[in-house]
Amino acid sequence: MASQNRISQAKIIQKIKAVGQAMLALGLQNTHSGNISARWGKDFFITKTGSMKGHLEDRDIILVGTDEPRSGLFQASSETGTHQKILSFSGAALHAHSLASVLISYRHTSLRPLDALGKLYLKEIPVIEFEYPVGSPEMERDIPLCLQNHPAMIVKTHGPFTHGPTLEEAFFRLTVLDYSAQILFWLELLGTPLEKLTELNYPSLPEYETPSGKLATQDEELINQFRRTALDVFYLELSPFHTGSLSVRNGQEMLYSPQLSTPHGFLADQEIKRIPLEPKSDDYFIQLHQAVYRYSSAKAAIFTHSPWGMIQALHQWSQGQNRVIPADAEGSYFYPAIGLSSPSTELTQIVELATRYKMVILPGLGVLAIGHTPGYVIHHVSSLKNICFLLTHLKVMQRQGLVKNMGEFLNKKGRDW
Amino acid sequence: MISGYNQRGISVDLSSGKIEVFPLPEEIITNYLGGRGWGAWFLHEENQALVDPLSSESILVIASGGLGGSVAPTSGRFSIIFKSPLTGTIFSSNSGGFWGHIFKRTGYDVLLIKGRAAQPVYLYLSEDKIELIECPELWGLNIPELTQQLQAKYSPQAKILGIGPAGEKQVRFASIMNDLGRTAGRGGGGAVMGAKNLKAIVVAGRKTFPPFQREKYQTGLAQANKLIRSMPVTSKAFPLLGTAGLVKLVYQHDMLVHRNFQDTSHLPENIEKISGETLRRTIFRAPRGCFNCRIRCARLTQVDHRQGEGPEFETIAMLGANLEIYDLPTIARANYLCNEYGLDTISLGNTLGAAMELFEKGGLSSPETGGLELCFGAGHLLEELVRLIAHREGLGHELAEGARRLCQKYQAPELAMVVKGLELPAYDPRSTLMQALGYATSTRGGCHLKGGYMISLGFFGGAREVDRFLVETVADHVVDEQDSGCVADMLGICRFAYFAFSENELSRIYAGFTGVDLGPHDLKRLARQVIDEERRFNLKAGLKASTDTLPTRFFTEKIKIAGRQRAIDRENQFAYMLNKYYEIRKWTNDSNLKTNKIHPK
Ligand code: SF4
Repeated sequence: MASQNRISQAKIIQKIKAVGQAMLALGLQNTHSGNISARWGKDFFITKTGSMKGHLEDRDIILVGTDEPRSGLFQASSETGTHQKILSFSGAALHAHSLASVLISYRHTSLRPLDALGKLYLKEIPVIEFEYPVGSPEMERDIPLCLQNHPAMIVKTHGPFTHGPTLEEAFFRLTVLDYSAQILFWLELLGTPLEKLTELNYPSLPEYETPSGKLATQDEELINQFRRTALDVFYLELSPFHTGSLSVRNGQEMLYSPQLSTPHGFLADQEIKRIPLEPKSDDYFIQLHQAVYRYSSAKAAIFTHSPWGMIQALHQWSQGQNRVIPADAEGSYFYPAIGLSSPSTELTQIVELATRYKMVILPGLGVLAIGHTPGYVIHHVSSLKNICFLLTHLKVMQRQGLVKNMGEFLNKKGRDW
Repeated sequence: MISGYNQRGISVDLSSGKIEVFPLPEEIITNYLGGRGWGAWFLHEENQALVDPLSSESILVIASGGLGGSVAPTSGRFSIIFKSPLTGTIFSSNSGGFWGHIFKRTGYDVLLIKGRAAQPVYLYLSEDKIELIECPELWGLNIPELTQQLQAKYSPQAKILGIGPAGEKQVRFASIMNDLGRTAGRGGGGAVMGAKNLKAIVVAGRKTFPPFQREKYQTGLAQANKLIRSMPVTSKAFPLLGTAGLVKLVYQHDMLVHRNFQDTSHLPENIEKISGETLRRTIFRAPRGCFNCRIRCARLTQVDHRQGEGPEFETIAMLGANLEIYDLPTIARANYLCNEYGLDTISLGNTLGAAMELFEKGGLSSPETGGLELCFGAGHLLEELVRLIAHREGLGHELAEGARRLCQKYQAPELAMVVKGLELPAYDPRSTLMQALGYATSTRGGCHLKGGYMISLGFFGGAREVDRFLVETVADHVVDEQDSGCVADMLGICRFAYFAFSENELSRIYAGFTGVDLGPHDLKRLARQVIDEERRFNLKAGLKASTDTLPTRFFTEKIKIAGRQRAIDRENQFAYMLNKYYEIRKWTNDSNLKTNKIHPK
């Protein structure tokens, strides 16, 4: 029992460190801000006050009692009381300084995500204003109360708290929240008529599940390909943590990795499944990958929930457009245009568009790229990020009068590609 | 006219019975602020450097803090400043409770006690009465008895400060107690009072102090209180666990003293027995706090049918871990006795540790101990040893002289874990180089608090944390923390409040309260001048820069800390840090010191 405890204790500490690094990498913290906690039996671990989240060491992760106070309190974070109460009904809690969430909090009393992940997994995220929005007793009282009914909330001008049964799920929710906030913020900045987006219907998606680490292949080369792709998806911010999927075709089956987006420290959990192309799965994402191999000659496919892709796709969709046309040389060279398709479109049509354009964006839901290898398909989605980033900023520049007509930069061929 | 001060003090000459009220010059108020600052100034003015502290020439300064009389958090602290009979240095010792707050409200800021009474006396002080009263009947009483008798005579609201039998017997580490369980513990102030035949000081005051600028005062208070409520150390750790909560943490950092500083290794199960968590589960009865303090770190505890305050972290460490006595009830019982007799538990535990090492190494034999087997772990002897020391009986007479004199007598000066004669507290300096430098340079000798309370930066300083084994840049941190501690001592603020706020908030509160607009940097600058003044006193008293060092053990005996065998490298680490320290303070290592003293016209 004692050694079992030690193992899981070591594992929790390792995961807290990994989340700390991952949060820093995504810019969800400054070097010292935020905090991470996870329950351990009757007690819980929390990051030490003022610790550098990107460089957490064992001594920076403090054990604190949920019922009985422990000496760790001397070193614990200033939000310890809030975490302690959240952990009375949850397994892990995170507090971050997601800048997009703070921006949303300046003008909204709640965040209503427009994208499918935010809508499904977070629903409506309350924004709560506190007179003293850092470590105050009022926060300690009200935030846990709020989180009893919500997976996440935002402290106005400060940042979000998320929680979940596991550290992974709390972090998943945090990144989904951050990306939803980014999408909404930029769409508002672009002057997008948001009411036009309400007609978008998203398919039902599977519940969040922590990947099991099971590998249905021994092929180290393939495993490495999957791992590299997972890391790139995470660090290039192509999809929230543990979202997205990657597959390669293998005869009448595919090797498939769900919950793709993975930072260092979590790679051992990455899962590769062996799934036949028939029968059709109940899982929307598996169906999509199955459809790719049934209706195209692609050898690899990736699906990510790229926030920049979503911003552009939703904006274009609200304007009645059915494509995104790059405005940069590299993007234009590879992709004269990228097709848009309603998220409720039949899978066969989605695959057909992907075949034509190398990738297809389902506004609010994600982007599917298909090709020969994992390396080939991630190239598409990472290019899409750059294309959409530039388009979005160019549009803002145009609204500010810094460029006259962004149309002149759009790929000429793209209009009728 | 400066708000928030009475601008006057009282001088009591116990030899002649003469009592004088004197004005406190404005420049002394604004340059020295109060508490420790005034102590440094008065001791200099009264030429105390060369006097025998236990003679009638010595004076005792009792000074309220610059924020005394305000409602700033933890502002009830006051300082007692004297030349120490233990160290021969200037010695500023402070205490919390309620006495200091009420003292200020009697209408006086500072009290100078001079001379020696022919008979035991006590002083009564209220807004309309100052009286010296002979009290041979109170001599010999312990602190609870003394308090009970004086409160019965005056009122339960009267606040009592006094000495127990240890002070009367001039034990060199006798403390001055107030409000029963609060203490100006270190340096032997109790012995100075005892030598003067002054048993107690009773205060009863109700004066109030309207702030000079209410809005500024209130916003400063609101911010300070908010920070106290929001920082886990002040809102949770200390209130829930008391200072005893540090036991495990200090142990985990290989810093908790053991066997007279021979190493820092304890069995985890032994630490569990004396931890703050265990204290909370077993002997804890209720939290206690000083005036206007919501941190409330003090503990009311109960063992058998006795209740009392403590044990605090230092007591657990020095009477427990250091002596290998891992039993909370035993430690608590000894602690209760120390509070009753008026003894400093740090010096006591350290001196006993030295005696036990001497005994185990053959330097002290059974006939000399009166047959006591003075071995580490001898918990059954603890209460008896406290009694012997407090009454200077048998071996207690020698132990009452403190570790330095004891070890010198038995020709083993290297076993005295002291700096400038002050017994080191519970943190092994090999585990935090900042602490090592702090001990060596503190103007009152081996003290963690006046040395800068560096352990807090070593492992619970949050973003301010400084690596424990860093050498470069460390001197700057030590100077800075010592200066901050001095600001707290001048204003009468508890050092623990600094876990939540600092000079930023204090300067605002102070300006709002008094109208004296000093920025955070000004406060530090004044503190630095006070530390210079204290240094100047020590040099005049004959101390040399060579006393800015540590016991040899810490340079020569390696122990396992943070996974490695470590001692302090005298040349590359210690001398380097010390020279940097002198450079920053503009002290030269041959003991000279630039003078920039302020003189009232
Ligand atoms: S923190 Fe503790 S010692 Fe300081 S004033 Fe409060 S109760 Fe007194």
